[in-house]
Amino acid sequence: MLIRTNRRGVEAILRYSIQRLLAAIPVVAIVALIIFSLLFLAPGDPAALLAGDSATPEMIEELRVRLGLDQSYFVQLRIWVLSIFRGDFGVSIFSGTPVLELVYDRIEATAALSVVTTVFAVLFGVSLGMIAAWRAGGFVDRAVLVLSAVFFSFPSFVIAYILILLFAMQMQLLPVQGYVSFQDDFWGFWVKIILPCITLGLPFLALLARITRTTVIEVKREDFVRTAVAKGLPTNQILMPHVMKNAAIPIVTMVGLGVSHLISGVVVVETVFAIPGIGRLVVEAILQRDYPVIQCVTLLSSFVYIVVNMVVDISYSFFDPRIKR
Amino acid sequence: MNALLPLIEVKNLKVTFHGRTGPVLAVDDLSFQVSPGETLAIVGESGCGKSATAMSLLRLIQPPIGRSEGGSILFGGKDLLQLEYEEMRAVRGREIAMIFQEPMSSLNPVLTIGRQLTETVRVHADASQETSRLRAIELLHLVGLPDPESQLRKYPYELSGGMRQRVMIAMALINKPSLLIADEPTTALDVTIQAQVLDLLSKLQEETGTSILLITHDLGVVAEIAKRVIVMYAGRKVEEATTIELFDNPQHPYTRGLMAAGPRLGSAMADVKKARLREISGTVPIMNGELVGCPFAERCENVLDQCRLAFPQDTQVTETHCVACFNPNGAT
Repeated sequence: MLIRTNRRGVEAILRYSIQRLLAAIPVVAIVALIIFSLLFLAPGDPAALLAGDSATPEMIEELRVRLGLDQSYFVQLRIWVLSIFRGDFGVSIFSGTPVLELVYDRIEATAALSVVTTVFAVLFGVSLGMIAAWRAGGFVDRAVLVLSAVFFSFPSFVIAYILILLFAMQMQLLPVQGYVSFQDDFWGFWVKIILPCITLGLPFLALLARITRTTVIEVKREDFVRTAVAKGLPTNQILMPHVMKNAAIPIVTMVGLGVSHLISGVVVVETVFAIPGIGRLVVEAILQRDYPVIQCVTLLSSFVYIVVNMVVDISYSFFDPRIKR
Repeated sequence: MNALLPLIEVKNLKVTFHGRTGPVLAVDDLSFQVSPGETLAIVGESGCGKSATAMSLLRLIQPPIGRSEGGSILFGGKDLLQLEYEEMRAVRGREIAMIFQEPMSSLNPVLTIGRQLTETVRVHADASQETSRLRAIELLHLVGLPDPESQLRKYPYELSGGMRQRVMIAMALINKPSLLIADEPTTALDVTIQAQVLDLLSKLQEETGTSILLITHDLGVVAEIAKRVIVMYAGRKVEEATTIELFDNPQHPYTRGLMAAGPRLGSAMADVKKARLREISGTVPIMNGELVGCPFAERCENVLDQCRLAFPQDTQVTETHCVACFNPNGAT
């Protein structure tokens, strides 16, 4: 309803998206190079970890040779880059499973968590911000201001444990932790994902409520809002689309930033709530110096980051026709 | 509607703004009426309360910015100041419509002209998308925009200032309101476009029979289209007359000052070296409630002692001409 477009518009967007993705290749390459170099320089030796405490130096050396870790920086880099071009992200040093398989098994939980969290945060954050702005100075407004400051400053593991204590331990309404796929158990999925999503989403929601409030208050003062009132439009139509379409750009920008931020947020939440997602995979991999896994996940998240930013940029031209594609 | 009855009758209107240092009186004890089909102009300099008057007719001045404190605005047998929110909303844009000063910022920059026109129809009537679209095309044609159909798909930034003001006029007239409030409709426009817009307004008035309340600081605009004029100063009505009477026989020292301040063809302005417009010395007082008496007293050539003690009552000059001044003729 808000967004009307035609075939020419769709073509323009496709062309723009392809351009952006091509332009992103050097960015991903640089990210890959930095990740690789950092891991090369980082202390810790996967061979030593793999061999165990009782291993002799000879056994460790043998492992290093077998894993290719005895090669120079450039040789290792070349091998890695060439295999990526073949679509081969390597094999986990520890489990021996192909990295792509590991990531594929874990990605559903993280994707579900991120999507539900984003929807929750956007829905509530933007609505609260709108209500606060429309009655600026009122009760809701003051409550939103205080609560958003509180939730934004609390670390997520604290929020997580408070929520678990309240809803899972005291009231016993929700399970403490765990995850099931929505394909296996639809209701179980929702019951188990509520607390992790609230934990992950509260700071995001707080941020969105604040930015929405500020932007809507600004737009409310514009002359065209007075015109809309003088035309006899009801409040809901003044807000949507007159005010919100004008306020959308800062809000969408913040949603984009928030989604990118979730990538790091899931690490804590997945650990606390024992969700088998990418976040926990990468933490375990880092602790074990499982280089192929770390490299693949970081590349993946930088790619997600780029795509999210691209979607945000494209959405600008939907909200404001003055921005050319 | 009965031609003898006024369309809208404003009685003792009082509007205050909540300033940083306390309430500021923008409109004080203002009464006037507009007859059906008539054009009434309110003139005065910036801050005299003319825009505040216009806005309060549609109740666009709301707390925390300010409020209408007293008086009544009778329209169609109802007091607009007493209406519930939803009742007022039914009046806005349907029976009373408004054109604003800035066509640049008064249209929503991110919605198409078509959307902004059709929603005005649909909010007040149970009209289909197609009916309202046809009505929008009809109105754009009426205000003289070329190729109305393609204009509907355009955004305000794709139109010039004059075209945008035409769109605003079309939007205001789309529901055939009985009163059109035009708040400085030509101020932001080029001189040539100004004349076009004024012509358009009077032409449309003849066709639709709507009454116009014109808010302006420009006596030239008044002479062009208004039948009657109210001169306001510091929130007060100081003079009211037909346009002809006002220009022929201005009574209030402030009105005379205003007229002398404008350039006139063939007068001293013709001699470029002496080309200096007369001005009224001093500034407008801030009405924060401390001032008693006539607010113009400090700037007035004809000031008497009693001017500082009380605001003068209206004196009838003729049946259609009244002035609020103790000493319009400069007796000492």
